[in-house]
Amino acid sequence: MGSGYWEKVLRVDLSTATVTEEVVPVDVWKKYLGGGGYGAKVLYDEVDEQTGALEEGNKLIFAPGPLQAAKQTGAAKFTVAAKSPITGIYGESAAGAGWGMALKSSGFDALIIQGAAAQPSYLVINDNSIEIRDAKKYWGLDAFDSSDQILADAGIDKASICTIGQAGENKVAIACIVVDKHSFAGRCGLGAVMGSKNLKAVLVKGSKKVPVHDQDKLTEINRDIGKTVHENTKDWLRIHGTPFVEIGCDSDGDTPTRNWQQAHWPEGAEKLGCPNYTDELKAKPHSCNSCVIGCHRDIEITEPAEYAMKGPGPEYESLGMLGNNCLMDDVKALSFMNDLCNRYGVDCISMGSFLGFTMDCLEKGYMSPDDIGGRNLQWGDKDNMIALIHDLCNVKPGFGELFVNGIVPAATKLGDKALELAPHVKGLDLPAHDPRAFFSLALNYATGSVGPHHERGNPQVATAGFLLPEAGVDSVVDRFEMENSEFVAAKYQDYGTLTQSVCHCKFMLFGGYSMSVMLESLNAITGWGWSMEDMLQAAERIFTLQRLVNVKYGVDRKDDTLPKVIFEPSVEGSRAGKCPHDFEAALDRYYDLRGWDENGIPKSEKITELGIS
Amino acid sequence: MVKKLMHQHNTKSISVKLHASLGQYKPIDADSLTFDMKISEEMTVLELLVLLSIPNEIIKMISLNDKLVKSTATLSDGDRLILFSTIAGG
Ligand code: SF4
Repeated sequence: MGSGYWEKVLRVDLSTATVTEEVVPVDVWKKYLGGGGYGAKVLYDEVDEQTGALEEGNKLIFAPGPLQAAKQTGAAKFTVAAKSPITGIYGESAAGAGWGMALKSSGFDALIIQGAAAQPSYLVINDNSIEIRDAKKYWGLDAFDSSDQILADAGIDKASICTIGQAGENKVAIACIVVDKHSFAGRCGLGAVMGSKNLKAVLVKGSKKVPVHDQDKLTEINRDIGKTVHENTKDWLRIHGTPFVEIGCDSDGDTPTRNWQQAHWPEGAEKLGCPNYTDELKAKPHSCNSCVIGCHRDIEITEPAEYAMKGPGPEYESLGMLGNNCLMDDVKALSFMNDLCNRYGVDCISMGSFLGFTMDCLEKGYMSPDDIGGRNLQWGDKDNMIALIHDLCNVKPGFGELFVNGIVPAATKLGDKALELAPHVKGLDLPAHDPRAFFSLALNYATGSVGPHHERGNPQVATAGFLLPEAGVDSVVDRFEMENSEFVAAKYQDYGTLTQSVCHCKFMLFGGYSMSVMLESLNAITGWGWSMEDMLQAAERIFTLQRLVNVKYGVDRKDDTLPKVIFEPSVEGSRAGKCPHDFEAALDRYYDLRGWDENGIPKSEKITELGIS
Repeated sequence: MVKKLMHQHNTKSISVKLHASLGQYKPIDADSLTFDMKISEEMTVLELLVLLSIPNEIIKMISLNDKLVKSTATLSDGDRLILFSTIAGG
């Protein structure tokens, strides 16, 4: 019988080309679980406040969690963490496909990359055989082509691969990590950290069976929950993927439109959303390993020839950010831009944010076309949007050099008015859900560990009946309720933290995968016999540790803010006249609930209570 | 307000599924969120929403026999209808 852990972490120092295996005992995993919990632990212990995100001293931690021991729907996830080059604080992003399960099956609970290679390199983990190889011939290739070529050259059958595109090589602050050409650790610029280490790819093959406590029980849970999730999602999330929510989000005033300045855009949402998306793009489901939903889209465009592509289609977030936010309603052009971003390896959310912000600045006169290489970008101007994606990813003079370090450095250069217009928290661009449509997002974005994130947590789904009764959110939440928003935000943050640490897909909640099923699975894997309270406390512990990482990097109340526009109600649409109110009072209540002081610093009693050391 | 499903002179039968937060609109004599209904001739989805006391504005997507349709779509015998409210995930 096992515990779902190997108690072994692989550390690769690229500066010295040394590889070490470290024993990490089960006591550590009991506290921090894996994924973002373990990533935060490494950053807290090993990366100080002086270290720049793109310096050798930063660490890049790839960590699956205990659930990768299960062949369970939703269990394909893993987390990448590092100090973020966009925010300078805790950075984390999750991806799926097959990589996390492969790393776990290679006999390691996590991989820590440190230092920087002298030459472009890639890492091969083939069970116990670890090799740092020369990647010069792949440097300069996009993420998809380099994946294909490295896999073909490596001669390792059925391996899984994480790569960066040219954006990561060029240390663009919004560069992402591309996994098996269809999943993306998109947010926080972790691809730039990988690029700063001269690391083009990590190829993994694992063939070991992770020892678990009770395989029979786990098999039974996997079978039952697979059926339930399939039944609850087959009519929508499987057929249409996340683009299914586009029209509804727009009508709720949830989708950012015209750089967050407009309440809704029904005519655009109709063209971008479903059924048009599914029909026009011939979209088909594509799954991460073991997943019964398959929310990823495989699409194909043959005409017009200028947008021809075949591969992963845009998710809702890309539709919202590159579409509504930029008033760009051509779903084929958008898919082409999405594909460009995927291949260059940049976060589509931030890319859409930069473009919408630039359009707004140009219209308001805070920027001139000369600031972006003479390109006269207009709302919905797809040709110039495509040109600017190329410019940024190649760090061309103009737009590329202006935005290479993120929206705040760009806006700061443009002046105070532009800075006020920039939709970010702590330097990270807001994703495509608007706190004016769901008030609990206000505190979630302001206090989130990585900055504003729509999945860590996702309290807006409580308004649709996707509840967390085990954590006390047991009835549908009014979307305009500020009163109890600290509780709802905190509980969904803890839930998000938990899923990032056990490493599981949050979309399973839409299919009826409850926290009780997660606990049952965790106990079957580990044999820990945890109660729900134990699991919820682990979530709170990890979230608090991530806050402590941020406190170490200088975060406090002054940073727990929201862009000005979020406090400006619209005059039309379903959220007319509404916006989060009495925010500072809500923040006080949130800190109090968290056991943080009035400046947002976790109190020593709370740290002791949670056993953080 | 919830209603009973059976009405005299109704000749068509459809299957209705209410998604997630629409549970509160389940008719009192339905056992689950998926239930069969007898409807009259020429009924549109919009008219069905009135019958079920579901406000039109909270319905964000409508699936009829696995195709997404507008609320003006007409229901036929044997149809499989799914009603979705807000799902601000993704
Ligand atoms: S729902 Fe989507 S993201 Fe989640 S595991 Fe399945 S395919 Fe991957």
